[in-house]
Amino acid sequence: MAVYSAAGRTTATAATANHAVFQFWNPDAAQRVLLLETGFYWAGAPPAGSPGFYMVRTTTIGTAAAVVTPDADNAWDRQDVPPSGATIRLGAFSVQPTLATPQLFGHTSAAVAGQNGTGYVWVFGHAPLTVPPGTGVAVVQRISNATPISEVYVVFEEN
Amino acid sequence: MIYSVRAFTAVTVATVDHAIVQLWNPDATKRIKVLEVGMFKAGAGTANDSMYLARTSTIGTSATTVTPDADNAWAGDKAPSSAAVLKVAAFSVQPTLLTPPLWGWVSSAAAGAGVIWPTPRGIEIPPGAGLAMVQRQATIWPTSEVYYVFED
Repeated sequence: MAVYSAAGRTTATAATANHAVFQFWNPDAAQRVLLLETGFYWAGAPPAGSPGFYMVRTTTIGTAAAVVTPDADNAWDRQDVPPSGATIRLGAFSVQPTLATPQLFGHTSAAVAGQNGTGYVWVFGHAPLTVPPGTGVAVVQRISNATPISEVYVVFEEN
Repeated sequence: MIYSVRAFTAVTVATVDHAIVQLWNPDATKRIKVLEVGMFKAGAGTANDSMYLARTSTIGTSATTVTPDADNAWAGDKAPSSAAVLKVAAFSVQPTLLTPPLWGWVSSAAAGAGVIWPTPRGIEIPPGAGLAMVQRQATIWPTSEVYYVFED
């Protein structure tokens, strides 16, 4: 089992509830991928109101603004590219991924001016979150406020 | 054997993708393993200061170098056999960055803002390669306290 991590930078999302900020996608037909950690940090002013986000499984990939494709440099042992071909899909999405409810995790934040750099990190310390073939996991904005440009990353493991 | 080493960086130039600090493995055969990195700004910097962690394939030219010795060994008795060093900004010649990056972070514009990223499974650095913290944007990264924990 090899560990990988990769990072990217989203563009701001539309001010629409339940829009994905980013998605980790496993395109493989058979391989399962284990998500160990993910996080994101705002590189812009906080959304208005009480911005909330949740993590949810996805069953379709949607259409992302940009894609980060991890390669051998992203392997922590620097040996091989991820066999699954897993990618990070960066918002804004012109076609939203299909969200599989109910959601897995959620959080909310105060929208205080100047709190650029606010971030969230999920560490799957109890057990990795398995991403089956042809599915994904997304971080999604709960309310209709645009999420600013964000720095995002994932840490994952696969055979 | 586990080591940790810290440094205080100088400010960087306001140019995208400039390295702030780099752990470099100069050995011809040995691999080292990064177990944790940390960064704390000692100046407010700029709104939306963003940085990422990237592998490097050339060392570049740094303003200063910190060479860990036996005092940096958690067992306290042996210098790193790889002779790994911490190369500290500002860099007059940038290291060569490999993409995509491994991790990223955005700081608040406040002195003391910081982050610790534990990587308990270890990010291996092959011989003649490095791992750098890099500013993403064309803004000056303020003086900062930085450290790496690694296994050699």
